[in-house]
Amino acid sequence: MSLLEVSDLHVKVADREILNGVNLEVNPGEIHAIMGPNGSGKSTLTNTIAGQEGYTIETGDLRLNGTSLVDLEPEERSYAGLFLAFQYPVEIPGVTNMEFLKTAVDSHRKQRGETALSSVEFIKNMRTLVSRLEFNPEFLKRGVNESFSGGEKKRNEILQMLCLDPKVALLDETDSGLDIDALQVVAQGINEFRKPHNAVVLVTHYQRLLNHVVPDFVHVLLNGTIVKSGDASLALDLERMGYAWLEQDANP
Amino acid sequence: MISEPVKIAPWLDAKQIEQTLQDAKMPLPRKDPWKYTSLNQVLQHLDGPFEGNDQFPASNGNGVLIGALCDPEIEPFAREYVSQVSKNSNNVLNSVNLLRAQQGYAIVSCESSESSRPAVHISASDSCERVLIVVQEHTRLEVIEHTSGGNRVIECVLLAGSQLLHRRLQPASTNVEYNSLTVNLKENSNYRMVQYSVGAKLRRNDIVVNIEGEGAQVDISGGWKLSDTSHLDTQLTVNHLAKGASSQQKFHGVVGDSARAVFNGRIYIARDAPQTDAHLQNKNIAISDGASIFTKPELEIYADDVACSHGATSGQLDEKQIFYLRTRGVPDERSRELILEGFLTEIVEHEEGANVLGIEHRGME
Amino acid sequence: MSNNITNTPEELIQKEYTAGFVTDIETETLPPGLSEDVVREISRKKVEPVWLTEWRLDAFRRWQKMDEPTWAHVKYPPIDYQAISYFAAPKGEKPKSLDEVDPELLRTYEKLGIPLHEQKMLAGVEEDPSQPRVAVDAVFDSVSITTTFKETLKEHGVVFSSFSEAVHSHPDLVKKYLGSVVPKQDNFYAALNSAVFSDGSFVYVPKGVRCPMELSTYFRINAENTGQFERTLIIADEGSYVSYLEGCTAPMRDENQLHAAVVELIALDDAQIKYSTVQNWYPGDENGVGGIYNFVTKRGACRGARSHISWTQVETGSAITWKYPSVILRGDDSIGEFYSVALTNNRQQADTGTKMTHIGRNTKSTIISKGISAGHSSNAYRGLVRMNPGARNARNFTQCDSLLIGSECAAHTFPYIESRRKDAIVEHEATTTRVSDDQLFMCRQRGIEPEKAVSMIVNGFCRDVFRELPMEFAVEASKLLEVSLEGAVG
Ligand SMILES: Nc1ncnc2c1ncn2[C@@H]1O[C@H](COP(=O)(O)OP(=O)(O)OP(=O)(O)O)[C@@H](O)[C@H]1O
Ligand SMILES: [Mg+2]
Repeated sequence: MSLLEVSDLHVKVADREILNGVNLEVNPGEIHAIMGPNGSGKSTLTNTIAGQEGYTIETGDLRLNGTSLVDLEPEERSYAGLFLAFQYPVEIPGVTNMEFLKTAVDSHRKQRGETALSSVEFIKNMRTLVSRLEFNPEFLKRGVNESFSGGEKKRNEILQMLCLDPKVALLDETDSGLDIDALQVVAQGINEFRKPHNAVVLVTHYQRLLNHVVPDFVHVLLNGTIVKSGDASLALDLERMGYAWLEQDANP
Repeated sequence: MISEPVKIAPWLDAKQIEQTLQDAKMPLPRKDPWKYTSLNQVLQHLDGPFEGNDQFPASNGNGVLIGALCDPEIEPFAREYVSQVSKNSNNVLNSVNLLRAQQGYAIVSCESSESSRPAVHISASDSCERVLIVVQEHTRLEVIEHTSGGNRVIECVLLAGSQLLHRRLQPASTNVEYNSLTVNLKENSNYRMVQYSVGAKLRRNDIVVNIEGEGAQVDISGGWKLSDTSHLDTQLTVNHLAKGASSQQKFHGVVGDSARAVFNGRIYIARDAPQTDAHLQNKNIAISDGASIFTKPELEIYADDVACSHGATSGQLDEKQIFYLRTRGVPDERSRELILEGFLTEIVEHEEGANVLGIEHRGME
Repeated sequence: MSNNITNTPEELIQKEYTAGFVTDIETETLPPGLSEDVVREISRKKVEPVWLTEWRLDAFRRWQKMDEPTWAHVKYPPIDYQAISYFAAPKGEKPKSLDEVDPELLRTYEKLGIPLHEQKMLAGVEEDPSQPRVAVDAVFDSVSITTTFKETLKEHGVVFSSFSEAVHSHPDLVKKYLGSVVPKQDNFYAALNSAVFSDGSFVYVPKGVRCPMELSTYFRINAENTGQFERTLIIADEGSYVSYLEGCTAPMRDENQLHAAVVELIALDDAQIKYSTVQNWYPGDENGVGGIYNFVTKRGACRGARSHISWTQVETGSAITWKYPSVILRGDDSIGEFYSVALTNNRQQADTGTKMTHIGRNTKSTIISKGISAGHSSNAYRGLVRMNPGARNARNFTQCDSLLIGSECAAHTFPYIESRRKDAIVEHEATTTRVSDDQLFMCRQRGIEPEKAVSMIVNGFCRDVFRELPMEFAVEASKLLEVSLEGAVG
């Protein structure tokens, strides 16, 4: 059984059909990259899977491990093992990163019938993660994404992913806005996260992340449908030729 | 008791206006919005006498209609808007003006193109006058208004998609002066105002902006530089009554000698006005010990999907900035002037404005 | 088929008031109504000296000539001052020790989590240093039930007693300072309080003494149809320090009850007073029926040089709040602070803020106000910062933020700034925001339930104020906020 299954997904946003029939199958251990021009519907796809309000599913289905996500609340999808790294992570002033992460982790543990971690244990775990992602430990005391630089916000998303250890991670342009070193750190984070039983869906515009995290499949999303799928070499073709040739394919 | 018809607009019923005046609650002296300015002094001033003025403003181009309120071409507009534009502002002084006005005229923009924008000059006069400005759909107009003494009540309506650029120049004056301005904006109209003021014996500016149409935009700024014993009171209210509109307000003032600056900037957001973006800033610098600054930015918010902020400061020149300039060889006195000029320049957009404030104009028009 | 996400922030706030029970105890109550005779009777019951009776009568006569203020941004039907009873006390002699206190009363405080047993606090299995001791004055309706740790405090020379007791034990101090910060004719409610005040707390910290524990008064309205009019007077002599906390609750009742207190603080040279309030009077039900009218005058006088007064308040209760804890900065280099969280939900209305009057040189004030409105409530900040001509180099900084939860509530900001001093600096900033859908979604995506997410976001919004509360009260305040927000979101 595939881990994540998107079938014939039609999604409306503000009365406009943005996705018209997306199909995607992600199996354990796989890495998928989704590419496509601005406004083609990539974030719409990831936000819909995560259960963002305002994205209305007209028809189609979303399944994680065989269970439909469609009627689940966002936190229930999270408990089911879905993680979304946001393209634009929001700030939550005054709520410290530590508090936020502990609340999230404890909520997950509670769902699994486990007791909450003691603060000491939690802090210990966090310290290791934080240093692996080359963060200043001080950053745990700061407000969630509050006056973080663009790159710090993205690294914070990866930190959260490692913390929650999901089954499927959707990373929406987590490589945008990173400097060269940070890109390495993020790529390393993703590679560490990869296990035979989980999967990653990367939304990206550039080849540079794919040099470090090699995808098994590359899909091109255009005007709300996947117009082409291929292996890692497709990304290289796109880098060279852009999307125009596919657009002609799509609208003969 | 006046029992004649309203001189400037005979179709209005003077008796009824008197009645509303009598029924209306007179504002209380020493209470908002007359906490820091003598209401009695203003009321006395409204009693006259005024010199009067029988000249209409002049326009530099075509596409504008200017005439008395009872001029046959103007009258339809006057009937529709005079006293209607400001009817919700509960300002009894507007009614007093209507009964006393010696002159009433309207400025109606009829056509304009992308390249041309007719400009109208309203000159200063010691008179009691009523002005109506109608900016018709999708037209653009510029009004340059001079005030000095007198009592002028302006009602202004911006119809859909129109634009008005309003500059108000308030030069030095030894008179008492009361100005009341109400602006109503319809869909997607755009009102931009800059007010430049220096000292007067007492100068009170009441400004009410009603955003009645979706997507309208308001940008109001003002600068003042007061000296001697002058007194300036600006009371600005922006009412957001329709959704998706934005307003920006920015006022900078310098107060010296024993002058007094009063500012009240109120942003009101009705429940029906979500997606509003509204911001107000008032900064003041006092340059002498006798100077007084009274400022109150207010927010009154009934909708949740809004982005609003306000700020007000009162302080003196930044000694660090002065020191910096002095280390670069600028004498103390000149450093202070430069910094004050810079502070005022932030709101100055026009040559005439710079002239009123007595500073060099560095910006672009 | 669609993404069925139902909970919006609005749906998540549904308040449950846990302090709303009634204590079944015999009460001695004066019949409703207010007259000179009633004022005399209150004074007689408390066996007060003649000067105080006269003082009350003078206040009463002034009050009769005054009008109820109408400028606040709150609406309520006219109050019938003749329908209120001005005195209510548990029957019997005032207990001399805790053993004599009616067990029903003890249970009440136990239920509210207020420690009245000193031993309990002292004789823990092992003394927990993170649990500082707190001395409590428990005021039940119009009288003080007991004051704990009096002996320990006495060793340090600190006087902490009920107001009625202080009138007899420290008449000179009471006479000297009563009404010296809030004159009896100060405003309508202060005048009313001055005429009929029943009990409250009195604190005197002598020169150079750092009060060894937190002092706290716990106010409880229990009786029906009564008003509570307590009076608190805190005097910090030169170089002393005291931290004081006030808490309040009332049963759920259908009628509105009036609470009109007066608090006066006096800080002499180098003294510091930290006054914290966690106010949780019954707010009324979700339709606005019942609840306390909280019309309170609180003012501190920084009389001495380098004196320091800070007000920290967390206000979640009351149907209507009308209160402006203020500081008069007379002493040179004195400091005034106001940190406030005011949360309104359902039909609650709050008009609260502060006044900072700068008179002395180099005086400094800081105002941090966080207003949260939910439901159909209305929440207004009203402030005044005044720089008098003598306030050389005075400074003020004000930050005033509003958070809106739901589209039916209202938030207002009315800050007056008056500066008559060139070198005085006043800075005021205010913002209005809401808990955004994006913030909520991000939390939920990480597995945090919406209620929890909102309370976390609101707590974060209030962090700057909670930091100012004594540790254990910060926890209490944060919990209170959580309870008050229950059901506000979704
Ligand atoms: N809330 C919304 N209201 C209206 N239109 C929306 C909304 N959200 C997305 N859209 C529109 O849907 C289309 C797809 O947007 P989406 O964010 O999915 O693009 P994307 O592929 O992620 O683009 P990018 O590469 O720039 O991130 C765009 O045209 C966008 O303007
Ligand atoms: Mg995107």
